[in-house]
Amino acid sequence: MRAERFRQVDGILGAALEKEEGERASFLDSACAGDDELRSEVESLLAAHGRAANFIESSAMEVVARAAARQVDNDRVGSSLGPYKIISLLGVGGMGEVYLAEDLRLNRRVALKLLPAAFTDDPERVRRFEREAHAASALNHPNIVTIHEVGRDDGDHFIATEFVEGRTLRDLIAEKRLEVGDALSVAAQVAEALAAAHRAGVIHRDIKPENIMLRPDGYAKVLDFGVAKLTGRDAPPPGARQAPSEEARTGAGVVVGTVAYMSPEQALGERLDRRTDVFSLGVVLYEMLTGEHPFRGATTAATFDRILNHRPPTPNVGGPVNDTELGLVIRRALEKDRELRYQTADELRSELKALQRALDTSPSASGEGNMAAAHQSRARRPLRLTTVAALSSTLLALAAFVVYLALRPAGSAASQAAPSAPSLNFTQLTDQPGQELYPSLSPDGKALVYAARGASDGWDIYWQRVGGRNPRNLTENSPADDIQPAFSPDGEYIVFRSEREKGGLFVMGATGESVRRLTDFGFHPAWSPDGREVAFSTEGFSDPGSRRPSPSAVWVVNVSTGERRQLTDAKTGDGAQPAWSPDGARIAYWGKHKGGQRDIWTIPSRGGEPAPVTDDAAFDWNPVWSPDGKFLYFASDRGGSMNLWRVPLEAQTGRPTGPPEPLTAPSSYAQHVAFSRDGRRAVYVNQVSSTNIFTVDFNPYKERITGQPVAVTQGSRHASGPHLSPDGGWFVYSSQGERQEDLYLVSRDGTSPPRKLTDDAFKDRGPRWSPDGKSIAFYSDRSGRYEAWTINADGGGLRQLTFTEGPSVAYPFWSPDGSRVAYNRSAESCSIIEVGKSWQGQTPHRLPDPPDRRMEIFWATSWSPDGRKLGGWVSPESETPGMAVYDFETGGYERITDFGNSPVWLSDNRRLLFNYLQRLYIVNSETKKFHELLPPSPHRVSGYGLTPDGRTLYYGLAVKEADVWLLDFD
Amino acid sequence: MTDPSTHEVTELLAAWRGGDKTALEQLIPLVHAELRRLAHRYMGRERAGHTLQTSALVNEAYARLIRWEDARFENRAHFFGVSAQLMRRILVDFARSRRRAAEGPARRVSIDVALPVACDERGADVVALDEALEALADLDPRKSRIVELRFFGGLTVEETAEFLDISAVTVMREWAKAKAWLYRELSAEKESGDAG
Repeated sequence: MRAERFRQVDGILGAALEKEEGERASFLDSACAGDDELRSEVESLLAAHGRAANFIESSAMEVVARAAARQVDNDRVGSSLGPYKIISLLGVGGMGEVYLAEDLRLNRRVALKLLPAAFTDDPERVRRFEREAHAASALNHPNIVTIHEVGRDDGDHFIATEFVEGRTLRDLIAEKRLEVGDALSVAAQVAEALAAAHRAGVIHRDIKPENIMLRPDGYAKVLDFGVAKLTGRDAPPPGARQAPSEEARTGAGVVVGTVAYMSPEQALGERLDRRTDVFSLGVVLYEMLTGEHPFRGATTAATFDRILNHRPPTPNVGGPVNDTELGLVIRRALEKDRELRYQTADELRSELKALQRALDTSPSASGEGNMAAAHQSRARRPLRLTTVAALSSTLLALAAFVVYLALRPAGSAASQAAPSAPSLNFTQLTDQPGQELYPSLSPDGKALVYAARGASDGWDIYWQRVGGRNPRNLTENSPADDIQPAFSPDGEYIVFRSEREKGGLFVMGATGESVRRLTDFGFHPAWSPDGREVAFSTEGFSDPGSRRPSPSAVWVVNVSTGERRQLTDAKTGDGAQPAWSPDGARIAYWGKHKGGQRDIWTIPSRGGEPAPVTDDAAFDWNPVWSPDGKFLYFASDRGGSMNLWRVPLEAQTGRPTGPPEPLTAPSSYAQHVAFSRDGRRAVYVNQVSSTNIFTVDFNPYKERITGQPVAVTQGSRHASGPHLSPDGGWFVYSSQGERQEDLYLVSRDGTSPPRKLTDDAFKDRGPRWSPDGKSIAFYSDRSGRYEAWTINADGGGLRQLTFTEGPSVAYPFWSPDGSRVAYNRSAESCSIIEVGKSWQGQTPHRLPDPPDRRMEIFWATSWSPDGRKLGGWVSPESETPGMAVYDFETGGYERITDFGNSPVWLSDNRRLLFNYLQRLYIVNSETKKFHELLPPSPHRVSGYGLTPDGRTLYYGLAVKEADVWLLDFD
Repeated sequence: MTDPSTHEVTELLAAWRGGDKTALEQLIPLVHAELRRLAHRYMGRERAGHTLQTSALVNEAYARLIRWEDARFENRAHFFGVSAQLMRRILVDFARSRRRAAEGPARRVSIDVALPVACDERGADVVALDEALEALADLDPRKSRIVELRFFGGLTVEETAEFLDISAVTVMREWAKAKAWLYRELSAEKESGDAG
């Protein structure tokens, strides 16, 4: 009978599923013919069908294996992760396992949080999280748990933080309701932490009692800044808006971030700002005071509904505090409309402090009064929070003073001129994918222009209101790259560098109209304060490490006449990126001197002797004068990473009057500073970069990639120019892009951690495996200049191959039989030496310069597997760039493309991979047909090749993310 | 990559089907090893890009266990059926033992583990699914068999169709209806469980 009924239901269900959704109801009307039970049976199955789209679509093997993967791996105790030795398991939560560990480098205990793989599946999400966590790691506040490191080890993503001994606020309120004074103290401390984080542009997004640690001494410490981003808690699951009953489940039945502390805007999936944290803190405060949650319903849907639509009753704490006042504070923190809420955490904090003061001065606060007796039924105060809060504000004052000391001008004259230390606020202004560079603020500080890569892949100049979110492309009519915009002092014009019409500087109106040429060369334009002249340099750079060897000179051009004069020359030395002093008397710039040292100089704007501002090994660049003329701001890596610095100097002479001081922007790499006219605001660029190795399936016949790229390495390090060993087992790469450039080996599938081959201050680049897989050729400055070297795959047998004079050596590579190595030098064609012979015992065989004079010289990067040809390109300075093949038999060259460089032969001796504008192509050297291999991406390809079977393509991918931040001097 | 165990598994499957009950005992550790290997890949060590190819990873695991061309059965299709049945048994036992080992119901092995993070799915565990599948077998053996082949055996729609000797379209239709039924049963069970 039951089976019969099942068949009946099944038949109608099957027929209903074939119908359009709109037609199902009327179909069921007739098919069930008044049998209500039958109909509801079918309807429940139809509903289930609608929700079961992904149900059991993964095979059981995967489900069980994933579940097993999530089980706590106790084996980890005693093991090591990077420099951390794991001591014990502290806990397991939705955000992964937390261990107590020891940092073996510093002998300190840390809390080590391992992120679950489910959250690290999406590389884009991980990258966003890392960016956020790096910003959070710069937060230094007594009420914020310090993030020591965000890292990866063999695919494990971890966060190492300060280890806080204590309990979570959750544990505490589960036990007892807090005293009013304690609750206010905790809330005020959390508000302080939030205010500091918000100033640095970091939103917490997941404030709840689980994320607040209380130390026995009364300190409240907020955990997990920026982590919520990884859980996707800032973006509820699709459909949450309509049917918020489904939780943001993240697998294994663990609900990450209960919805109960979400702000209404968070519940609705809207874009979040700092005010979401204010709301969540309001919920926590309510719960601390009453022991009850203001919105929690029996189901998630009910909780959502209450967050969105219900106002909780005013808590009646009955203590020595005015319930009405307290009620008003809570009510304002819990306003549904964020416009009506406290606009900043600071605002809430000062109200909480006022309540605390009122409490402290009330007669019953001593604990002897009637009110205390009324509280006898409550548990004894677990913590002496109030006292400790007082201590904490002392520490805060002390910390503020230290900041003041760090920022205050060193010279006595200057310190009189600076009555108070600037307090700095950092806000992120742009967050488009890819890089936003060269920001310039309008004189009133309300708008900015910057260069970014648009949809067309070229660089354009964008205008954006400070705080606005709709960039406007000012140069979309020009297909050429437009970069380095600068607002004129009156805000009416923008001068910029453009590649249009063979390149130069151009001027346009502030909204992109009436473009006209100013010069036919030059980069980095800077207006004189009177707006009559523009200083610029002959060379342009987005970062100081990527400079071409050609020297740069500073010029000045008259905006109305176009007359120009040269300010620096061979005698004064290299000069780039000029900036005027506010009185127009001097121009600051940076130059490359003394074997690569990058220092800052100033020179009278009418010409004269340059005066040094810095003279040390740090990379100093990007000088900008503060509008009051007292400081020169610049970017420097003198603090370990590239950040913003300033040095006080004398306006007339340009001589520094004190040592450089750090501004310490919350950034791993800060550059490109520009000020508003009043000097109260500045913009700068925060840059994050990494290079990782990817592999992707490749069909050599169709010459197409056929799968999804798989990351071999990952993280924020640089694995540049990878080359796969002949047996296909190991990649060798250079950490070019990092401060220390060493060679590394990593296994083909990336399962073992990368192994260092070299480890020293010398720059090792361009590694290439020998055909027998035993040694690696590369070029390095370890002899004082770049020469070709080899090293054994086990790290031994370091040997210098070339001992040249003049132009340095680059890109060595092997002949297929391993007996010879070819290399290139900047001003001459490729040369070949025999590896078996000493340098003295042989004469390098230099290829003939191409007979076609326009081709000038030939640089090679790959030897055809049959040994008969070299693939290379003609020097990029030539009139007609492009790639060519040199034939040993004929001694002649054959041009194969009019663009591109760094070709790599395929095993068929016919086709070559190459790169053009940092994108990967394949070309047939016989038919000269070429096409692009990877889908469009703003990222740069660095090093590529095929696995020995020709079925997998590998490449290094350099990702650069750069956003504009605002710096407010209050 | 060839794995020495592949051949062994095929032999054991044949032996088990031939009535050798001890073959199962020998099979279990092999499947468990494969599970652990897979789990290991899913743990923190999982490379970001790999997740786009998790199905490839799983297929690899199945393929390592069962090499179809070596099978000495009437035809490949029968071999599928036998191995799906076996996989079901081993995987459910594995999940059941894990469930016992874990503390409390919060650590139940959940099916939605494998689902995308943002997916609004309800959880159901492998053990519960196995039980529901038993119930379904009483009502509609073919649907139950399709789920067994696809979910536990890791077979594609086409392979399932080949084994059952029905069209792929029928497999798709039956699969959709079976999923709806199982989903409903499991969520009903979960709701009543939650209420209690």
